[in-house]
Amino acid sequence: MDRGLTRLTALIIILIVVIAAAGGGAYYMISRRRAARKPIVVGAALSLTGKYGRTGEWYKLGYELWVDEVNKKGGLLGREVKLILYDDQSDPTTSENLYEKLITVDKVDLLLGPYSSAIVFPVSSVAEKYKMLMVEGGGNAKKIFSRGYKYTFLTLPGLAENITLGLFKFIESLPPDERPKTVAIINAKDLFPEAIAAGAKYYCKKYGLEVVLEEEYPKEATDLTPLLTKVKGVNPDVLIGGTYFPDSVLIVKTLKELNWRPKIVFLTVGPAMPEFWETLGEDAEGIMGESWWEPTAPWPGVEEFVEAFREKYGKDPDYHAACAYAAGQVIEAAVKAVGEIDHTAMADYLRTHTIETIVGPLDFTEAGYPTLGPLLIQWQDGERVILAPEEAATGKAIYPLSSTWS
Amino acid sequence: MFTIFLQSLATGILIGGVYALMASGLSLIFGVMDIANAAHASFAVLSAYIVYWFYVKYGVNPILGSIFSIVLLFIIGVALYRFVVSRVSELMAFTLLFMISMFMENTMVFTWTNLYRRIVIKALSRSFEICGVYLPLDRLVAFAIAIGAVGLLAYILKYTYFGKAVRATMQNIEAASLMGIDVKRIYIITFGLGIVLAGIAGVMLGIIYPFYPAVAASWIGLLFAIVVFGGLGSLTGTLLASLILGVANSLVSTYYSSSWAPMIAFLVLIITLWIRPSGLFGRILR
Repeated sequence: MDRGLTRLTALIIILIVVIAAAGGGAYYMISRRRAARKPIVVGAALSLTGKYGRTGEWYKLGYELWVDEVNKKGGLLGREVKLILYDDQSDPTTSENLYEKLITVDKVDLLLGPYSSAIVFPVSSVAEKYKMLMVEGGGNAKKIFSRGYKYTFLTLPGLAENITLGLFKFIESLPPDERPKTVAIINAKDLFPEAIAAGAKYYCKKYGLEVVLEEEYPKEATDLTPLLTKVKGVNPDVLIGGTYFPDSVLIVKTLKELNWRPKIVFLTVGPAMPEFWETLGEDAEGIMGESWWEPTAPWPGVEEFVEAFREKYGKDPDYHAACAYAAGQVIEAAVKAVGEIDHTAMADYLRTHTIETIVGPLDFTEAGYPTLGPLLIQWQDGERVILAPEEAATGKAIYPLSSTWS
Repeated sequence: MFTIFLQSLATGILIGGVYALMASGLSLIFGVMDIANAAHASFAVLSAYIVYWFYVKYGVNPILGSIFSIVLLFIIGVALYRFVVSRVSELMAFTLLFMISMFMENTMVFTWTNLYRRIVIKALSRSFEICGVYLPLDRLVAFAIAIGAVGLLAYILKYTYFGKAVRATMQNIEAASLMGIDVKRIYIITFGLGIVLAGIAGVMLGIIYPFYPAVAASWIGLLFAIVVFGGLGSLTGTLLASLILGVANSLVSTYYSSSWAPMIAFLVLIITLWIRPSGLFGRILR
C-alpha cells in the first residue's frame, strides 16, 4: 500500500481547489456588479381615468419627467431609475390594492403617491404597514397627517388650513400703522372651504387681527349680493373668502355692483386660475389669492423644470405637475443622503433636513407635511404677481385697494 | 343701517325678477298642460351655452346669438313635444323630462366641459346708485324682461284667439275640443313657448352668474317651489311668489344667515302644500 498521496494527485487536488475558489470569486464579483446595475424601481398608481383623470394626468407627466431627468444625471446610487405606473380609475380601493401589488408582487424599491386626499388617505396606511417611504403631492387633507404616521410625506407646500398663511405673512410685513385690523371670513359650506376658514380664524388670532364677521353660504348659492350687503354693512378691512372658482368670480362681480371694497380681498382657488382674469377682466385687478406654485416662482430649478416640461410635452406645467416632480426630488434627496435604500433612515432624514425643490424649500413636520405654506399672489394688469413669502416675491403689492370701484 | 336694509330689499326684489324669469316658462307649461318640465332649467343652461359659444368662439353679437338660440329652442321644444312628450302620460312625461335633463347635462359636459363660463357683457356690468343703494344693470334688465314676458303672456292669454283657446283648454279640455279648438296644436305651441322662455332666462342667467352644466340642478327645485307657491297656471302668482321668495332670501341672508336662505323656498313649499295646495292664485286642483 502506498502511504500518502502521490505528487500528481496532490497537484490535481490543489489545482481543483484553486480553480473552484477563483471561479466562485469571479462569480461573486460578477453577480455583485450585476446587482448594482439592476434598476431602482419606483412604483405609483394615479387616477388616469375616471373622475380625477384629467388632474391625475398632470402627476403622470411630472413623475415621468423626473425619471427622465434623474436618469440623465446617471440615475440613483449609480443605478438606472425605472417607473411602474398603474391606473387606479379614481377609486380609493383600487388604488389601495395596486399599492399592495406594487410592494408585494412587483417588489418596487421606492413609492410615489397617488392623487387626491380621498385616495392618499387609505394608501398611506399601506405604505405605513410595509414601512415604506411614500412621497406624494396630491393629498393635503389634515386627516391624512393626524394619525401619527411616519412614512408619508407631502410636497404640496401646505394643508388647506395653511392656505391663508401667505396673506398673514404679508400683513405682518406691513408697517404697524398701515396694517389692517378687522377681518370678515366667508366660506362655501363644504369641507375644503371650511378648512380654509378655520385656518384663517386661527391665523387672525395668532397675528392679532379681529374677526368681525364669520359666515357660511351654501355651495350652490346663485346670488351672493345679500351676504355681501351684510359684509359691506360691517365694513371690515380684509375680506377672506374660502371659495371655489364660481363663487370667487361672483364675489368680485357683486362687490363691484355694490361699489365697495375692503383694503384686501383674498379668495381661494379662483384667483390662481388664468380663467379668473379671462372672466373678470380688469375687475380682477388687486384681488389676492393663494397659489401652490407659479412658473415664475424664483425657487432653484423652476426655470429648468418649465423648459424641460415644455420640450417634452409641448405645454406649460401646472402646480400638480410641479408637486409631482417635487415628490421625485424629495425621494432623490433622501436616497442620495442616506446612500442606500433604507426607508426608515430616509424618513428620518426628511424630517430633520430642509429639502430644496421646485415648489420651494420644504421643512417637514413630524407628521410629514411642509410648513412653507402656499404663495400669496395678486392680480396686477393680467399677471399673477407673487407677494409672499418675501424671498419669492416678484413684485410690489397694490395695497390698500380703494374703497370704491369707480 | 337703513341703507343696508334698503339694499337688501332692492337686491331681493331684483333676485325675485331673475326667479320670475326662470320660472315663467315652467309655470306656463305646468298650468296649461299639467306637465312638470323637469328639464326646464337644463334648457336655460343650454341656451346660455349656445349664446356663450357663438359669442366667444365666433364673436357673434349676444343679441343675435339669443335670437338664434331662442328659435333653435322653440324647434327643439316643438319636436320634443310632438315626438316624445305627447305620447306618454303626464307622470311619465315628468320622468322622461328628468331623464332628458340628465342626458342634456352630460352632453353639455361632453361638448363644453365642466369649466365655469360667463357671458361677459361690458355694457351690462355696472350698477346705478340711488341714495346709497346699488342696482346692478344686468339684474334690472332681467327684471324688466321678466315683467315684460309675463305681461306679454298675460295679454296673449286674455285677448288673442290663441290665448282664449289656451284658457279654454285649461278649463275643460273636452269642451274645448268639441268647440273646434285644435288642442294638440295648442299644446305643441305652449310647450314650445315654455321652452323659449327658458331660453330667454338662460341668456340672462349666463350674463348674471357663472354657469356650468350641473348648475341646472341647483335651480330646478327652487323653480318648482315658486310655481307651486304661486299657484299652478297663474303667471301673476308666479311673479308674486318669485318676488316674495327673492326678498325673503335676501333679508334672511343679510340679517340672519346665508346657510338658511335656501331653506325658505322649501319651507314655503311645504306650508303651501299643507294649508293652501292651490297656491296664491291657483285654480282649485281637480
